[in-house]
Amino acid sequence: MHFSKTYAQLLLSLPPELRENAIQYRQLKKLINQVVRELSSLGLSPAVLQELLEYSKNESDELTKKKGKKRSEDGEEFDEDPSASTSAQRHHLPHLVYEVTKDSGRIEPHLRLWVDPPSHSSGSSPHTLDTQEDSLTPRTETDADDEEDQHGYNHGTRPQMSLLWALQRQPWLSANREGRDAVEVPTARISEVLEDDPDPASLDHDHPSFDHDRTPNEVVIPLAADMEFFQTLSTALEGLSAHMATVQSDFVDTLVTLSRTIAHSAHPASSSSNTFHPHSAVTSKPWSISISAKAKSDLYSWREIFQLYVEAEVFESIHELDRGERSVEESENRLKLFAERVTQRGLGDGRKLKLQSSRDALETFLELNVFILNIKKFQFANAEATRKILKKHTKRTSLPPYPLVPRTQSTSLPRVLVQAIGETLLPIIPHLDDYACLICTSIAFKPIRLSCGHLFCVRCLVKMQKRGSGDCPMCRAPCVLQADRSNVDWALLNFMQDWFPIESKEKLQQNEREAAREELEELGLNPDQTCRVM
Amino acid sequence: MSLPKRIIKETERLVADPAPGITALPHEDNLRYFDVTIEGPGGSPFQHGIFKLELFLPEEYPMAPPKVRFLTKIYHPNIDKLGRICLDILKDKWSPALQIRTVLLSIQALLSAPNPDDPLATDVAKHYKENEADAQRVSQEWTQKYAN
Repeated sequence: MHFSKTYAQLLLSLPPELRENAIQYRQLKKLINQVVRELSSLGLSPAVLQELLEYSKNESDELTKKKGKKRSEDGEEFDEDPSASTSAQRHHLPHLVYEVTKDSGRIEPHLRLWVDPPSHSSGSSPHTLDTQEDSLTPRTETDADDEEDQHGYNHGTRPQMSLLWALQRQPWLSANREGRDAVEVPTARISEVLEDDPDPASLDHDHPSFDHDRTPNEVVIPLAADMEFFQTLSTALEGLSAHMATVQSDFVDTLVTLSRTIAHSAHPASSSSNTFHPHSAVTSKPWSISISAKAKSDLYSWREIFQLYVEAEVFESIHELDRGERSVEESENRLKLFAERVTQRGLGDGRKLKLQSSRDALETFLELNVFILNIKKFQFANAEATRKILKKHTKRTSLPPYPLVPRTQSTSLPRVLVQAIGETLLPIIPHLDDYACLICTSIAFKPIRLSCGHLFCVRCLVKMQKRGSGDCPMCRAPCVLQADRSNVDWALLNFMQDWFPIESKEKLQQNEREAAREELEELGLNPDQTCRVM
Repeated sequence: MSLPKRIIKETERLVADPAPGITALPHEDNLRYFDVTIEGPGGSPFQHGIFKLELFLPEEYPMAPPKVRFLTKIYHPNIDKLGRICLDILKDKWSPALQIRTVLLSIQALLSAPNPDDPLATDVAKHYKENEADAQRVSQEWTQKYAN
């Protein structure tokens, strides 16, 4: 399928506000046609243009290599040496360069052309004109009965001067270079410079070689259609990046609102308990606070949803081997998978989300993700459209590719949005991994803060002390053996009970079982052995 | 005795998100015993070699370090004929905050930076100290011969 079709279809699948800001591929395609027409009106069909540009490139390479040599050989040698004559003949081709200036913020493409001025010595050559003749009227010499007439240079039907002719009149050029408007010159046919080459045989004798030391004439041809093409494209790209900035700020606003809603529906036990004091060290029953049926909270459901979301790695991989942004298809699949898992676990409805506000928030959360996916598709399509249209431009016109660099952000917008979720939304619910003991990987309950500042669970530190390992596992500071009751981090202990009531309770029970078992082992009993009465 | 949560977590991550150039797979019948491969680091005489190791997590793990041994013959001043490795974190510098993953990365780093001043294979260390280029040549030969 043609790209323009796939592109149009893809845009149709996106929300209208995105579609409206897309790169207008079809319109640009039409503009390319105009550029081609403009160039053809100059006689620069793609093939001609390519030849000229290639020749100019080679020539400038050659010139730098041969400059000194050519001067010493000089003109007469070329006349006598038939092999050299081809080289002389090649200098009939003008030196052509495609340039794009960006002065005053506008992209202005033009062709810059240098033509070797002809020699004065031979009047018989069709290329040799009297440079004294600086009148603007077309030339009417009778001796020019050859190719020139075929091309209709001097026909009265043509109001403007032929470019070939004009190019050879230096005074005219210098007088007009400044004031010339964009329409005047492009009507001339540059290609005739090319087509006008006499055959080598006649050249050998009739045409003396050009003087290479003379400065060539220079002419600048603005390309109006080409300018419109680039202007349209770059305006579109700028509009696009402006729109993306709006999108981003809207997204962040929605995200902040959503964070508040979820924070409210996933509040910890403390927010509804009058007896709770965050910094109290006198909790007689540390696990007494639990989520009561009265104070509805979807804390655990939201934690599970966020956990599933993080594990789904929808937009970015955090694996060591394939770290980075995922493709559109991959993200789409993973988002689908995430939604499936949420449903499977009953997190999408009243079974686990007790509050209506939670269910609404989940919907919004999913919408935000679909939105990121759309932006991802949209940006990919636009980048592809830009790349393709520039490629088409090069291919159709033979003009060398111009690196039109759109002002892009250093990181892609989808990435920025995903990061916003990670920074704004996900942290509103504390994650277990941030409160885990590095040794046993369970919640660090009860939390012991060593004098070096590192935190472990009491159970692991007791084990270390029994083994006589005195260095902190993180920084090797010799502070493990000094740790005692005073090292309990009460504030954190209360925080953990508040936000992780279930995990804290489980860990406490597990600690007790393990300690009891150890005691038995230390007494020389096998705890796995069933009790037998002798 | 059931497997501690920590070992289960470590194993899951080793399989799901392996460190580049390192694989570690537990035996089905003994989840504390791992088959390990380490790719020779680029720029070292062990480059392009794939070295097999065995790793065992003792009952006391993570309070006690894992036991690791090279199964592939290797010409390295800190690894002896039996494949035993002279690496401080596997002995007195062990910390329960270290993991299987970090241990294997340290071993990979040891291949890049042999330490002949703390030798286990004294003859290899002597060779490395007296003529490093020649010793590296032998290491490379052994890598081609045994570590494929």
